[in-house]
Parts: sequence; structure tokens; C-alpha cells
Amino acid sequence: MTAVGWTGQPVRRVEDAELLTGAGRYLDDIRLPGMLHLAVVRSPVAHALLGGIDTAAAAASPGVRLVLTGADVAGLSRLPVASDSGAQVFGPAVPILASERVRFAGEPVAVVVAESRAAAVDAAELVDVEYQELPAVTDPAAALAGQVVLHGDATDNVMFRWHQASGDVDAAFASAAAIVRADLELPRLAAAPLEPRGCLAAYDAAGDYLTVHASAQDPHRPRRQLAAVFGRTPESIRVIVPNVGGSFGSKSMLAPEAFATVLAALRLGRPVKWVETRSENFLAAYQGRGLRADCELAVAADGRFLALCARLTSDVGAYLYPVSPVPAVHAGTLATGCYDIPAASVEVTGVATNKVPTGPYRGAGRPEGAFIAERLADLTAAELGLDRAEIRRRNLIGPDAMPYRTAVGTTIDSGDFPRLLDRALELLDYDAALAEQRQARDRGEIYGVGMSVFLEPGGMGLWESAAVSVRPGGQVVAAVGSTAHGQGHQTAFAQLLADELGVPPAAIEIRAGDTATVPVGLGTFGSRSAITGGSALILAARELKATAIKLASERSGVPPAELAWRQGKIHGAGPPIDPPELSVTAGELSASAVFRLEQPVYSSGAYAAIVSIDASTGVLRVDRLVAAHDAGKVLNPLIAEGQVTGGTLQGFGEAVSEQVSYDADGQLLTGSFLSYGILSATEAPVLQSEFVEVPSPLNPLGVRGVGETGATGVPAVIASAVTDALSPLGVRHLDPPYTPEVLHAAVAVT
Amino acid sequence: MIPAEFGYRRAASVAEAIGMLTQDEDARLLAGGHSLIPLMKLRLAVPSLLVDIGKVAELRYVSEGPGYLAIGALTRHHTLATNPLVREQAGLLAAVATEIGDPQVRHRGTIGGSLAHGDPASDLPAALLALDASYLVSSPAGNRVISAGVFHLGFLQTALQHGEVITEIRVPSGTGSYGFRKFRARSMDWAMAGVAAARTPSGIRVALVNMGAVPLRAAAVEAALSAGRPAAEAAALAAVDTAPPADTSASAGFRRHLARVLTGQALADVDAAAPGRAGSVE
Ligand SMILES: Cc1cc2nc3c(=O)[nH]c(=O)nc-3n(C[C@H](O)[C@H](O)[C@H](O)COP(=O)(O)OP(=O)(O)OC[C@H]3O[C@@H](n4cnc5c(N)ncnc54)[C@H](O)[C@@H]3O)c2cc1C
Repeated sequence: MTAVGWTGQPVRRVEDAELLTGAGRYLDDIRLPGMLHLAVVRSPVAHALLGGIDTAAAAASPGVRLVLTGADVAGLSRLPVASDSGAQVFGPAVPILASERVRFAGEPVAVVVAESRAAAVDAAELVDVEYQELPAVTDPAAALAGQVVLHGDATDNVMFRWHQASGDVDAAFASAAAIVRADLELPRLAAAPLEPRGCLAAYDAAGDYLTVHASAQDPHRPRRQLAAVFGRTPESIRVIVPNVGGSFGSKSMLAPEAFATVLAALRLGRPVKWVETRSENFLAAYQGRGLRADCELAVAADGRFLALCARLTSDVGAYLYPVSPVPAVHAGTLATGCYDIPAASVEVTGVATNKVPTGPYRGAGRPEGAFIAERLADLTAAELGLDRAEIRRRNLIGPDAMPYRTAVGTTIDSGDFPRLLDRALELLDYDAALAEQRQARDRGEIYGVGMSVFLEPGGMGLWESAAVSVRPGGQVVAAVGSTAHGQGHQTAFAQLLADELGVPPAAIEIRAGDTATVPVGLGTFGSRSAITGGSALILAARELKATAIKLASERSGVPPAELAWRQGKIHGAGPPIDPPELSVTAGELSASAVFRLEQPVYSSGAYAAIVSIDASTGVLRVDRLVAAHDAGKVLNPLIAEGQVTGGTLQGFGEAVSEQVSYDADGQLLTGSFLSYGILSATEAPVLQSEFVEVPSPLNPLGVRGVGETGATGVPAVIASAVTDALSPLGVRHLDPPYTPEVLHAAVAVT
Repeated sequence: MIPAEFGYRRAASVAEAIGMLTQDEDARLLAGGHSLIPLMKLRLAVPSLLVDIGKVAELRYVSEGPGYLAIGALTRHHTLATNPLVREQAGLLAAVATEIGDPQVRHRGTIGGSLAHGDPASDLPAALLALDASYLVSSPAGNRVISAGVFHLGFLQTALQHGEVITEIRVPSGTGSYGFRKFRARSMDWAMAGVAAARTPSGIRVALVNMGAVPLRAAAVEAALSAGRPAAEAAALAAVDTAPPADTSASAGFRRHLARVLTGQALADVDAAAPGRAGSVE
């Protein structure tokens, strides 16, 4: 098609100059004339009956224009809880403002709107709320036992259930040579995007038109939510997503506070902005993980996995967001990992606790699934006295078995897991590492070698839209439903289109994040954008070329077969034709397309690591960390590597230091970066990573997901290495995070 | 994250700052702002007036006094870390200052602010305790000198009275080798526990960071050393009479353990830097 070949090149991100020099435009940079500011009054306690709320002093405070409480939102529809996770959902949905009861510390109780942010914050302190405290429950097991009941008559506090089973699990367990048990726990994590949540709502009463700027992952899902809650048509709402300072899943749903902001704008007829503080983000933004898994694996004498029985308990928190069941259910569907396990029964129970709700966070079930499967593989090796690479090789699904339907009903389209494991072990030099380990142990050192193999289903949501148009002079404008919030779509999508249309990337403008200019789409989450958004773009571009050739043929009488699109123009009918000239609507020629997937596209990978632990302080050092990924065709190696690097740092944080903690009364203990152990570049392990490019057959680009690889593979590989290091001391398993104190205790106890 | 309303005035001299402070009981000095402003943003501190001494040139110096090194209260951590006189005569302070926070913090935070804030997790107060430093304080009543050992009274509580300004930090001359160990999970963190040790004319002094409500001297360690016990044995006493906090980053017990390990390492540095002298004071 063209000789340029931009796709696959390490093109530097065109987004960066603007963002790094402070020229980006984030939500809080947007100021509208007459704009008011909203501050939130939050519950200081985790569980209480709401007595009276006295708003008089706040309402009378200088500059205050409106105070809203639970009574004011009673007329709105509740947020939907239905989700496409496949779980049976009991709810209830997260309220916009609490009424009658508060169920977590930090829950919004009232909002104050004032002329300045300072005035709103000052007045919020004057709202007097009477709390009749109730006992709180923070532990999911205690909640299941009905120690404290959060909602109505659901005495077991169950918010959702999911169960999948196939194969003869009982027979497998009855005939097993060994049954390997594991009780695992992954703590809650904070997504902690650098830019916290926020929105800016403006209502034009004359045109009955609502415009909402939101720090979100895409504009279309928020628009649907707004339409549902306010009973408006989607057409009467415009959602704009400006530059977004990170999300990692945590902004895939609008915050309850955002609906209150919109309500205030509707009431007041003036723009209202809400931007939360870092403290509020820790308190009230939905968190990730929070999963316990109680697992049994039936194993044959030769180490073959026969059946998995797993009960997963998700610490959902006080309410459900539509996405809340997704991670735990996803973990359930991935609990068999990359292994050929003929029978399985996996049960997921979502339990209400007096804590902020949970939802997707980078990986959203993939890291949990990998953690379960990989811990079981290691534990089986230990139980049978087999090498950990060998136990994996005996059980990995082979490339010839693809597509493979797992016993939990997931169909893996393609992948070569043994090759990835072998490559990671080769990069590590596994045999040399084991030899070095023997010597290190002789010297009294605590030295561990670990490995993990994992799946990363991508393309979730299964469809995306795109529109492409050409303007006079060859300028191309493409609009995509999938909106970047750090992923580099401007760069990568332009590379794709440049090749397809034969124009330089500099002539291509990628538009996203505005319901007014972008066709209805889904968004950016779950490692999906290249797969679905990129494919939709290519389909739209092809449609555009076909349309142009058809029109040129009609106009010139030259048969289509003799016409060709080259370098943005149509050749073969005399002088090259500029496509916009063919358009009846004048100015530009456009086409759009929707790409649909039959099922998720699986990428996969393997990590291997060498760690050592300082016996005197428990400090963990990562001596080597290597990875082989099958991310399919790599569109831009710089961006792909950036995704792996960022995910690796988050995965490493999950492994060694991140953990949201609450006290027994439900008070958040990790409410700032002082106490919440997010890592910085200084702590980043050096990763040696490689792409094994096996094109996916499920999309025209041959791409697979890459956004969640590091976050998925790293916790499992560090767990593998750490438990290996401690195994001579009799340690079978430890739950993350592997803080110095945890590791020191493990060393000192034995 | 928005402070309550407050007034702001910039002082041109120490005398002017003292004058402004004495007119308003709820006025607070503002130096680097890296402890006070976070507290104000959380509305844990609600001063009526900030008296900014950031531009008071007479508080920014390092010079040699009679028998001591004199450091102006407004000296930034970065200056401590890089100033040749500090490095030569109070190397411990320079070593400690390089490990405070991040570059931004080191370019804003001041030694006087760090002392006056009175946080036992701060590094400089413990180092100054190990160095047997004293602090020159000015007020309408005149000047007084407070020694490090009696300056800190409790968590975020010091011997300073309202209207008093620390003007100078005095570090006695004649300090020899030193050791500093700060344990933290992340490079940007405060100390989970820390130890500063220095060979002074009166013997090896050891002080602990974040092991109680105030910076603590490890008296049992010092006594063991001066009784001629080996360093390793003395270090095992580092947690005696400490009351470390327990929080999400570590239990009190782990902090005690760290204090012992770090003291052993810091004492080894004191020794290593002074060849020929064993792990106890002559
Ligand atoms: C992200 C971050 C990380 C940090 N990490 C560390 C760390 O690892 N180790 C560490 O030790 N510190 C750390 N700090 C604290 C930092 O060193 C502070 O700057 C220091 O503790 C206070 O100095 P300041 O000049 O900023 O004081 P300010 O914040 O201006 O003032 C603090 C208090 O001292 C009073 N005050 C200031 N100057 C005087 C004076 N001359 N006389 C009397 N009272 C005075 C003020 O009124 C106020 O009450 C960190 C701070 C931040 C923000």
C-alpha cells in the first residue's frame, strides 16, 4: 500500500511535549464564566444512622449559593448496578448522597456550592450532621457471618454471586494423588492517579443542553450514566474529556460526587466545578483488588493438574458500582491460568463491608487470576518435589490445543505459553540462577528464583467505533471512541492511519473524548484500545478509500479497478484527485466503521526473577527481572515498552509495599502518600523485557493487549521468588505486600 | 487541601518578626513552609497570621564561632549538605541533610523549621542531639541558649515560647567520626527508624530518629560504650527506654529491631572512619 511503514516504528509520543511543559489542559485548568465551586461534606464515621442535617449555617456562609443533601437527590434514578460481568447482582448501587445511613468513612453526605473553592470548603465545615454510630464491619468473613448487616435484610451481606463449573470435579478430587491447598489474599489497592477525580457541569436552560467536562476514561459511558440518572436523552448531553492525569481503571465510572455537581449546575443554571483533593481520592475513590481465594487443586502423581476448586471472596465495600463485580468475576474466569485443567468449580462472592467500594484497577482480575494459578503451580511443585518450571511445562496449554476452552468457560484464542516460559527462563539463565542459588544458600544468603506465566485478555467490551475524514490538502481527521488518558493514542493511531492512507502522521489529527465530535464508542479500559479502536480506525480508513474510489470512478468513468489510492490521493483518472473534491457535502470526505470482536483477544507473557532478602532488615532486593510478552503485533515499541514499564512498577508496588489499611472501626489508615506505599522511579526494578510477536488472528492489525502485562505478571513472579527464597526456612506461602517487616518476621520466626 | 483563612506578613529582620509575632497570639513563623503548610492544608494548623522570615538575610549563614560552628536558622537542607564548612566541621549534618525528603524539600526546608516543628521523625533534631548542639533563641525578653537535650518536650512540642525565634544552631567543635543510618521503604520516605552517632570530645553520642515522642539519646548504648563494651554488644541496647510508634509502615517491635541493627551499622561507621580506635571510647 505504501512504502513508508510507520507502524511498528519507535515513534516518540507526540503528546509529550505539551504535557511535559505544562501546556496540557486538565479538568481543573478549565474555567467557565460564572463558574461556581463544589465541596463535599463526608461522613467521618464508617457506619451510622443519619440524624438531622443542619445546613443553615453553611447556607448563610459568605458566597454560598446552594447546599444539597440526600433529600435533594431522592427524585433522581439510582445509578444502574446491572453489569455485563455475568454475576448475579443484588446491589445496592452507590448513592449520590447518603440518606438515612452512611456506610463508609468518607461517604458523601452533603455538598456545598459557593463562589470560590475556599468559600465552599469553609462552608462545608459548617454543615452540622448528626451521626448515630453503628458497629462497623471491615472484614469480609465477619460480614458474611452477618456480624453487622449493611443493607436491608441481606444478613449475609452478599452483594453479588457468580459460579462456573464444568468437568467432574468430585471424581478428580477422589482420584487425586495430592490435593494442594492455598488460602490467598490480595489486599485492597489505591489506583492513586496523579490527577484526582473531578468534573465541571454547565447547563444551558434555553437550549436544555447539559455540558459536562469530566476526568474520565472516555465520554460515552459517562453520558449514558448521566442520561439514565437525570432522565435525559443522550443527545441533550455533551461530555468532554480533557487531558487526563491517569486513571488505571479508577475513572471508568463517574463519581457520585459528579452527579451531585451536575444536579447543582441544573438547579443553579451556572457552571459548577468539583475537583477532589488527594485526601478525598484516598477516602472515596473506588479501590482495586481486595480478594481472598480459598483454593484446592487436585493433582495426579505425575504433577498433572486434574481439577481446581476455588472460592473467591471479594471485599466489595459499602455499595456497588456497575463495574464492582468485574474484577472478582474476571479473577474467577482466569483462576485456571495458562493451564490445562479439565475440571473446575469456581465460586465468587461479593461481600459488603463498611469501606469504600471496589472496582477495576490496572489488571482488574488478571493479576488476581494469575496470582491464584501461579501460587498453586509453585505449591504443587513444592508438594511433589518437582522443579517449578517442570510442573508448569507439564500443565501449560500447548499452542496446538488453541483455541482452548477452559473449565471455567473462557476461550483462549491463541498463544504459545511454553515458548514464553522458556524464553523468560532463557533470559534469566535459569540453570545458572539455580546454581548461584545453591552457592548463595551455602553462604547463608536468602536468595530466591521465581517465575510466572499469565494471561491478559484484551478487547473487553468487544466493539469500538471510528470515523475518518480527509480535508482539502490531505489533512486527515480521525475520531475514535476509545479515549487516551496516557496511552499515547495520538501517536500510535496516527502511525496506523499514516500507513493505511499513505499520508505522514503529521497530517493526521486524532480526536477523542468529546461526544459532540466523536461517534458513539466505548472507551479505553481492559487492554482494548489498539485491538478494538485501532481496528475500527483501519476499517474506517478502508471504507473511506473504497468510497473515494467509487466516487472517482463514477465521476471519471474509469473503472474502480484502474483507480488506486496513493499518498492520500486517487490516481488513475488523469491528474491525482484530492478526495474532498468528490464529496457532495463539500469540504471533506468521510467514512466511519464499527469493529466488533467475537470474543476477547488473549495476550500472554512470562516473567522470571531473582531476589535476595537481607536477613537483618527484611529488605527485598530484585537482582534480575526479565519478561517475554506476546502482545501480538507491536504498533510502537516505545509506547508498548512504556506500558510494560509502568505496569511493572505498579505490579511491583502491589508485591512489596502497596496496601490500603483500615482500622477495626473502618477508619482509613493509609490516607496519604506518606502511609500508602506507592513507589517512585527510585524503587523501580530494572526490567529486561522482550516482545515475542505472534499476530492475533482476531483483528486486522494482529494486535493484542499490552496495558496490563506488568501489573499482571509481576506480583505473581515476586511472590514466586520470595517464597522460594524463604522455602528453606519452611515458608510455604506469604501474602503480599512483602514489606521489610513481613519478610523480617518470616526470617526471624524460623 | 485548602487552608482556613489567614493573614500574611513578610518580616525584614528578626526584630521585626518578633514584633509581629508578639502582636498576635495565633501568629506563626513561616520558614521553608514544608511542615507548616501541609498542616494548614489539612486544617490541623489554623494560624491567624503567617510571619514569613524566608527573606531574612541575617538568618542565613554558616560561620565559625568560638568553640562551635554557627549555623543560621534559615539555612536550607541543601546548603547543609553542600556547604564546605559544614562538611568539614559537622560532617554528620551534611550526611543527614542529603537524605532528607527529595530535592524540592531540601531546597525549601530549613534547619530552624525542622527543629521548631518538633517532629521526632525528623532527621536533623536527632543528629543535633548526637552532636550536643545548642540553639540560640531570640525574643522580646532577649536571647537565651537552649541545649538540644532539653529542647524537645513532646510530639510537636518544644521549649520555644510564643514570640521566640531560633536564630542560630551551634555545633560544638571537635566532633570526630560519625555514622548515620536511616531506614525507609521508599527513597522519599521519612525514617521508619534512624540512628545518628558521633564521636564527640565527651565520648560517642548516639541519638535515635522516630523512636519515641522526641528525638532520643540511646543512653544505654552510650553507657555500654563508655564502659568499654564492644560496639555490637552496645548496639543491642539501642531500643532500651524507647517508645516507638506503631503505624501502617511498621510495628513498634520492628522499629526496636531496626534501631538495634542501624545502631550497629552507624557505630561501625564511627569506627571505620577512625582507624586504630576500637568500638569504645578511650
Ligand atoms: C515531602 C516531604 C518530605 C519530607 N521528608 C523529610 C525527611 O525525610 N526528614 C526530615 O527531617 N524532614 C522531612 N521533611 C520536613 C522538612 O525537612 C521540613 O522542611 C522541615 O521539617 C521544616 O522546615 P521548614 O523550614 O519547612 O519549616 P516551616 O514549615 O516553615 O515551619 C515549621 C514550624 O517551625 C516554626 N519555625 C520555622 N522557623 C522557625 C524559627 N527560626 N524559629 C522558631 N520557629 C520556627 C514554624 O512556625 C512552624 O511551626 C519533609 C517534608 C516534606 C514536605
